[in-house]
Amino acid sequence: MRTATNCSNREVETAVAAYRDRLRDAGDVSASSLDEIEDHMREIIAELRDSGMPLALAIREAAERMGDPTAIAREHGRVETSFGARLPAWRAWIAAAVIMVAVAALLRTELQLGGDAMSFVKFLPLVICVAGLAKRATWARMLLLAQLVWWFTNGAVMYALGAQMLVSLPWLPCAAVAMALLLPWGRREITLPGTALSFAYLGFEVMSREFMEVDRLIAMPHQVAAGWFSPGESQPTLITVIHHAPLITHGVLVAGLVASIVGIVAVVVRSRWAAVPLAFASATTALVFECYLRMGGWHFYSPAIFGVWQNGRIIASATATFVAAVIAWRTAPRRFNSFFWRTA
Amino acid sequence: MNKDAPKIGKDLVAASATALVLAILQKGDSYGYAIIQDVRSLSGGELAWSEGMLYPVLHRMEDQGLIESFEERGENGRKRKYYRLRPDGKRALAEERRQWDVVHAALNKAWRTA
Repeated sequence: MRTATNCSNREVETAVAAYRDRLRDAGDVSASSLDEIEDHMREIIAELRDSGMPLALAIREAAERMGDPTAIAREHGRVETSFGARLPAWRAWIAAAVIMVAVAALLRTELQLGGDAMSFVKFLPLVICVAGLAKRATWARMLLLAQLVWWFTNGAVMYALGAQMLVSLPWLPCAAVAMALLLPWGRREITLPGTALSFAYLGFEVMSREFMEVDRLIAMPHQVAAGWFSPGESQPTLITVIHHAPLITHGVLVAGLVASIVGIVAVVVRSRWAAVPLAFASATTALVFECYLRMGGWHFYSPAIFGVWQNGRIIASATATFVAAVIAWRTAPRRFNSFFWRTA
Repeated sequence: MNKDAPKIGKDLVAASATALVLAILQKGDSYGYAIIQDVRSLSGGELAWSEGMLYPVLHRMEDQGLIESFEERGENGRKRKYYRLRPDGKRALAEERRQWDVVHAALNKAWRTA
């Protein structure tokens, strides 16, 4: 009778764990696949032990029968993707089509509000992601999911708060449909690295928006800009600080944004060092929040609920980036792997 | 285990993997270790896979929609991933069978006339 308890001694555990570690370090093998392979190895050891083979020999034979971890990890890399299961083609294509409709609507609004060449540039990463999605690339799915979650939430809040002119209506339902198609429908659809990628991008998306806001305020004549806020009596207004210290505000934001981009690229290529720039980006985001808070938080905004949302999303951005950093550090393979030969 | 006897070549093992897995799963749902055991007994031990390599094969077939997986608690209380054939897999099996029959018949004829 072969049971797990027969082979549950420490030597077996050590050998199985060592094989599992070698597989994990050799490349991207998902946790569920590692479990599967680990179980398989236990079964072989138990089978060999039952046939009377000494333990040490059984362990060696089992590792031999399983095969070279590097070759297995490489094969896995060709089939599995780091960021989750590939979407069924119909879901990917419908989502891609709906997002393109949404982008067209968004661009229209942008141009109506006096958009320029920057409006087109802004949508470039999105178009690249949509192209990736059409090819069912998992990284594209996670990046788009982050953008859609952010756009949808922000758009819905803006709409609810009465800033309807900032949101073009056909875009909101489009974003909702696309989001529903990209969100995981099953437990195993998204992996931890996939979540890290989404969170890192979510942080970046919010911060880049903040950057554009500050950029716009700096470019704006002081008097006009000041009219946007209702400053407190004795405190310096947001506008005064930004106008007097544009380099600091700008510098911190630019450094954070660059770190964020480096971090996202590192998450995509599955380097665990992605954690460093992401942690830095998270810290700068938190610093910006701190600055805003010192300047009077949400009381500068009218109505104040805009301020709550403004500050809330900065905290969310810092938190998301930090979570991404932690996941990236904990889940990326120890050895650097090339991303490009792998079918994503 | 006759480890020193010449085994079937790597290419042939790889080429027959999908057909074998499909045929084994047609008899009933199964999991990795049991599939390997079946391959072993069906081939009289001649088809010796590097056993860890079975999983990329299974996952690729799952991605292609030929098979699907589900989890169940095994006899040892641990969760175990089982695989079952999907309708596309049944069709693929029929096609694999036709192709292997052609190859088999052609080789038979060639050897008889050689």
